[in-house]
Amino acid sequence: MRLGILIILFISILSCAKKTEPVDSIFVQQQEISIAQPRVTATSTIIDSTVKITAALALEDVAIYYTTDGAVPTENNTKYTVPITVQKEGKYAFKAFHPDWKPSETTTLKLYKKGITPRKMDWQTTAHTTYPGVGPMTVLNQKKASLNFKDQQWMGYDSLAFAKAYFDKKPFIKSMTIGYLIDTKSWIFPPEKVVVLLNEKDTLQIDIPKTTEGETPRLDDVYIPINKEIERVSIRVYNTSKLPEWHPGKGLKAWLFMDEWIFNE
Amino acid sequence: MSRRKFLKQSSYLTMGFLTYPAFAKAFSVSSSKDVIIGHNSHQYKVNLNWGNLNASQTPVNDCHEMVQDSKGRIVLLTNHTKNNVIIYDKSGKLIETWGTEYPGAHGLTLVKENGTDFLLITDYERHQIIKTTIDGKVVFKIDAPLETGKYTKKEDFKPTETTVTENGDIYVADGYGKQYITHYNHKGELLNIFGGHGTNDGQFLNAHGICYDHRDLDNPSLLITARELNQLKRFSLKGDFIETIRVPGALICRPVIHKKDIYFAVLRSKNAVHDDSGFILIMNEKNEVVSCPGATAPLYRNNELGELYQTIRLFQHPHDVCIDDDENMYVAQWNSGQTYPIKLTRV
Repeated sequence: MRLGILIILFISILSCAKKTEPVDSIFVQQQEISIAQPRVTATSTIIDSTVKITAALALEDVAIYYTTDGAVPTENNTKYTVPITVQKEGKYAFKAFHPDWKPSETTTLKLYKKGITPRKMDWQTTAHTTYPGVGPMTVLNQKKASLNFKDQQWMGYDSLAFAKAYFDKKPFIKSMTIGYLIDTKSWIFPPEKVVVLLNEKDTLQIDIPKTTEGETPRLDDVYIPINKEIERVSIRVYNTSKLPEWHPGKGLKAWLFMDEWIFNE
Repeated sequence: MSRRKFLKQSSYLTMGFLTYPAFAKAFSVSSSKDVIIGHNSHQYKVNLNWGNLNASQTPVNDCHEMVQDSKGRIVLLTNHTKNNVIIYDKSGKLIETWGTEYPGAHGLTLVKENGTDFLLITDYERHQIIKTTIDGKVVFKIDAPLETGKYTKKEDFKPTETTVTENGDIYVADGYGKQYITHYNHKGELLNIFGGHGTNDGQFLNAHGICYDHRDLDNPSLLITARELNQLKRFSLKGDFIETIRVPGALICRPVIHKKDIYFAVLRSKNAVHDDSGFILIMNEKNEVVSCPGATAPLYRNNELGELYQTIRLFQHPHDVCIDDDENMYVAQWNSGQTYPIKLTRV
């Protein structure tokens, strides 16, 4: 009997030990506040052969985990220890974990495969003089821009962006990707729509969903399926003509910032 | 019932008699504890509830600046015109409020004259500096320094900060205007103007804060932030440029000297994805960064400080810090959802 009581008491104590001590503190406790998301950079976001990806969050005891398919990482995924070298396009996702702080938001990096370069491209409209990029070929120079809209790799438009591209030997083009910036606080929105005329015959129109309030700045792209042999293509990218109701500039036109146009094989 | 109280009561219930302290202490492998932020000599626990008031009675918009007065009270300046000045005790209890005429209330400086406290309020919407008694009676006002020829209209003058030397001279930083520093005597009469907009040594982009540095008694000087440049600049009292101290990545608001150290609220991290990416920065007497609560540990390589950035999403947009006589810190925040200041208790 006495032994029984002792055993029960012992088990109770052990089970108690697993429980959280009641919090009676005025101070912020463990796992109440999140850590910042990892800073992820790549030697290039357009893959010619390989790309090296670096993730960092300079905080003691932090552990960064990642996935190579864009899924939100957990602590069961691969732990990031050294820069990773990759060959495949797609989404790479990174998330930071820490014993004292809640996990971070996920940082997603999208890598693109190098596309077919047109023989010639003629701009029918010009970028705004304040944001000319590094010249008319900015969108074909294989260099993605950063989140900072002042990055020279951005071409900024406050009206229609319209260009014609010409290809040698009529290559088969599977699709086209137009990279753009979303930074609503800086009045930079996705395009409203993209209209493409293929070989002066077939027209394709892609409408881009509206941006909602509170979206964090990010890079995104429009994917245009083509699946044709292409000799010439006209591309019209329309800036958002009226900022939405929730925006301080409602009714006014938005900026359109583009970095790369990629013609995928 | 507060969230904490509820958690506490419910966990007492589930734990039953074994919550007796001896057991808890002996066997607890508690997964909860006070977290500590900061580095080296300056580390803190965080109290997010300090100074919370009934927002329908004593509201705040931006909490711009804070000082501790001679009575040990904590004085907060907000641009909410129901109560521009909110005075707390150190525990966060409300003592009094005053001020309804400062829509652009931004800079707050305590001036001690023969044992009496006065305040200097910079109001960038009124384009004025207003000297008041500690209970809010206006003593004098300084208007835009049009006589310098640097300003054509008063609207170009948007002062953000003042500092006062031992002899009562006042320096004003025009951080949201044309980036000049104007120098006045204790009566508010103009003596000098220097600085201006630009990236050269003696110029500023966002001359947001200014502070009289008399830590070296033989060589007193002025410390002025160039917030957009992530720089702190030192000038002589005559307005000659002396040196630049770089704090890469940190948008420092105003220098606050307490004993031998300089404390800064950092509005945000330069290259962060989120805008609300601020933190606190502390320099020692050699002007080296020694602690960054809420951010990366400062790291010098070949005397160059590495980029600082927010690592914990604790602060939103810190705008000023006040260090009290117990070495604890109060953090006032701009554009942070009308929240009251945060108190950091030094450990």
